[in-house]
Amino acid sequence: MAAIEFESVEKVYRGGVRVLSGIDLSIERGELVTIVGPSGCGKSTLLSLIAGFEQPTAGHVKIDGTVVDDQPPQARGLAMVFQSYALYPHLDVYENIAFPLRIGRTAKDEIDRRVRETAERLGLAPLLRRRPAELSGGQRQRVALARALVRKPSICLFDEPLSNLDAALRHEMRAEIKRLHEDLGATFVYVTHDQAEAMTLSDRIIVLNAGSIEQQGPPMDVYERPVTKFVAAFLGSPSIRFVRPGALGISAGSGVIVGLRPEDVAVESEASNGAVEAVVTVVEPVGSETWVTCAVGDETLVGRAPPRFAQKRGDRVSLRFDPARAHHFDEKTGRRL
Amino acid sequence: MARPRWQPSDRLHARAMVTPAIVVLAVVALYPILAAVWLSLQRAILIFRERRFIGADNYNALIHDDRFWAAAGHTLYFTVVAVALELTLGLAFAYILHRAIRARGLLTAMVLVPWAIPTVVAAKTWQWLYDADVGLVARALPLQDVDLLGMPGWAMHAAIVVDVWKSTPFVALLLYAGLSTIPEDLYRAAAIDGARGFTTFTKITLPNLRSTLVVTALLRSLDAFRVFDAVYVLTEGGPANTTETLSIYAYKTLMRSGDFGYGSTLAVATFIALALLAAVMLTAFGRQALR
Repeated sequence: MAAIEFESVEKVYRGGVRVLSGIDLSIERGELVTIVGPSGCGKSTLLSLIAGFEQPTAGHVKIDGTVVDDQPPQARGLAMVFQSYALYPHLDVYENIAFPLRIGRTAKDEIDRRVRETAERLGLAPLLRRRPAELSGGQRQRVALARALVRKPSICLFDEPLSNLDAALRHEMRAEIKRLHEDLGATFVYVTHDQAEAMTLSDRIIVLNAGSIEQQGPPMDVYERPVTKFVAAFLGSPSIRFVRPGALGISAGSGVIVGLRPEDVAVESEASNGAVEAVVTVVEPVGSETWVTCAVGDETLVGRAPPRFAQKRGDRVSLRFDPARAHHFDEKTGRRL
Repeated sequence: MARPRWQPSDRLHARAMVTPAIVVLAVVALYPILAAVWLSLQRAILIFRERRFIGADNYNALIHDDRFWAAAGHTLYFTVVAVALELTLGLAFAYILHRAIRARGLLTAMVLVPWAIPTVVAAKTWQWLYDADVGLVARALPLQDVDLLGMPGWAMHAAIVVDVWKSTPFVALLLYAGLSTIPEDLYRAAAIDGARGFTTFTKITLPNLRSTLVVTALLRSLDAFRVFDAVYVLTEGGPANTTETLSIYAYKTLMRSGDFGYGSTLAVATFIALALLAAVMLTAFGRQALR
């Protein structure tokens, strides 16, 4: 049985703003699903519907096979990690983690055992008597995780939990969350606008655009076969570039646009047979490689070059790619061909 | 970064900048206090054209003055009951304002009306409402034709009602501001953790409102302890001095009897009592809350 199901769910806010329409979705038990999309795509609303902060305008939300449309959050038995951490500022770390257990009237020694065990697992043991105000961002995030996991929930929701952390910490916590998911076997639903987070974490990725599901599937499948231009552009960094096939000497019908990911385009300093001629416009060395933005006639492409790439802006280069790696889209509808 | 070293000219500059404020405070606050203390050590009665230094005699008399202790008791009773009611009602109003989705501005304006009316006007209005012959309150009560303001025991409570009516809006507004600073995510997290209405109120709302509550209680207590106009307009301290507060007793002694010496002693005693009240409240509830 699915842990969470959406059946033709719609959400329209007061004043007629439609944030979600026609959402059909099934999340299996033990899955780690990420919901990604740009801001305003409805991903946080989707999470609020699962949590019970909001009710669907039409359709149904089911948890473990039961329709929960009218159930308040308290009755749903979920755990959640917030972007703002939402730690209780008047309670110390110990009491923050113990809070859901105290509300649930767990026995005292059981609370103590579980709080200490969870704190140990997340490296919070030395901080138990501190207040949230005395913790760093990363530590607060760990407390928020501990508070969510201390109840051993079968479903845990994450609302952009890492977006307030710096890059290094974000990387570390990402690995931590993945490890916790593997240890606990709970269902994790993870909302983010960071495509790298979505790619690295999840079993399945759900791309949301303007209130509808654009595509879903295992991250690599979605990455390699994006069904729309939107999905292609959203996943991958640096992002895919779209050009007219003519500029690259690819034969395709009219009204077709071709997308090439930067890692599929090799930038070479010498001209060679079968390569496309281009002019360098921007050079971005990132250490392990160099991303080179080039002008091909009126079009722009980004390609990959070795770390110590000598060419500068205005220099002539040649671009080499495997035409089979090119993604073809209908220019009007944006759909994959 | 190295902190710039203070130059002698900087010190001078700093002193020059704070001097005006200190001078103003000295003239309007420090001088009157010291003058009152000086007066309280004298026998100074206007009609007898008498004025001489008598040391602590006035304070000695104060300790044995039953009327003073009675007034202190009335004042304390008035303060405790009125502030307790104001905090309870004010919190309820603040909660309603906070939860209101529509017409919040209109609701706030309505709640604030009593606070906007001058105390003397409000007290006069209530005096008419309490009037035994024509007052709405008196006529609405089952005991008709009862002079509420003329009955010991009733009059004090009638005065408390006026103060509560007038000051609850102020408390509601401060607490409403306090409620607005509690992030919505805390309530969401508490709901996810299984906390329902009353538990959320006691475990999330109240602890996070603590510092606002302490400050509000302190402000209102200091105000209520000095109460004069609301009670004086209503009863002038009667019947049988049962509503006489410290301020009213001091006023009567000073202005009506013209006893400047003993009147000042009463005023200084009120001042000391207020300082003690503030200190007790701050040490009891404030230390953490105001940190």
